[in-house]
Amino acid sequence: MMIPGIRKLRFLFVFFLFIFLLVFSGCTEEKNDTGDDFSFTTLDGEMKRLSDFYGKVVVLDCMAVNCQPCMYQMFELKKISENYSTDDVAILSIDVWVSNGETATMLQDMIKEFKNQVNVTLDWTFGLDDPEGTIENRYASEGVPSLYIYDKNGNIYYSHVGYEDYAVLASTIDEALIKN
Amino acid sequence: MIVVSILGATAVVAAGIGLPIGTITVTPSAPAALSTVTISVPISGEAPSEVRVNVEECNGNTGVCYPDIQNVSMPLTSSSIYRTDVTLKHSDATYITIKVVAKINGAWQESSQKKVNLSVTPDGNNGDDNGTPGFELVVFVIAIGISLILIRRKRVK
Repeated sequence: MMIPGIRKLRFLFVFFLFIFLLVFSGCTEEKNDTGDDFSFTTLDGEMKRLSDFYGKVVVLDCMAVNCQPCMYQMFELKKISENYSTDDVAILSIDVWVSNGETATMLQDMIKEFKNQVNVTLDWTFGLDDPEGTIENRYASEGVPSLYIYDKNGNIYYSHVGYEDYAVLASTIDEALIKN
Repeated sequence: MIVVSILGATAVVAAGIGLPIGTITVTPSAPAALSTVTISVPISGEAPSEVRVNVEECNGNTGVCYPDIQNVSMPLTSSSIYRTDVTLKHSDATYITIKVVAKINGAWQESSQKKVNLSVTPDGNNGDDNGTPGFELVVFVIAIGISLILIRRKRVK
């Protein structure tokens, strides 16, 4: 027969464990989610897929030209471009506001203006979502920029909605590189 | 010609010198999130066949712009003045950007983009999630309270 005091302690333990799990379950960052493959059109008019970049860590930047934080994000992505080899890391900036009227011309002009106004060459892959907003609906429905880091096997290792600075992105890329 | 003002905010598409779309006016000048704003703009010269305004809401704290841009028709209300009311949708937006487009002689022309900071609400915030637990914290505090009562009861016995 169980002593009533022990029973109470047992109840308290289970109760605290339940509360602990309830409180902290919302604080964990989602990692190791399986990403879907998707296709996009590059500024050269070429169709590319995420799977074309398997074997590298991929930084997916779902962005828009008419988005101020997305412009600031470019400077952080530029640091990644400068500090990581293209053999290890691929950056994909995809304009997901085609459904909001953004065009390849607007994206090309944005790249030109970065060069002309602040002498920053955005030297990675740029592309556009389709007019139906397939990528937007899947990856940027909460807003832009939406950032994803995929491991070398195409699994989502990190995701974040909104601007993110270089330090966070770099440490996550480093983790993803070690993982494989 | 498209001119991208990178640090100023975004793409500002203009027809160059002699742009017929005048300065955008927003009333109130510092609206609150979720409020209704009145947007007006003068357009000179050839009367446009259609005038619309795009209102984009962003949160400067989290660095995100929301995808549900409002595209609203602006009717002519008085001599060359086009006006409309737009109700903002996001409680945590900290600023909006406004761009007017007008179809003049069959071609769309765009105004420069206007950024309007939103005012904070009387409770001192603008609905931002500051990252601290709300519901979870309340449950946690209640749980500790109940536990203390149970332990105390046990000791009294």
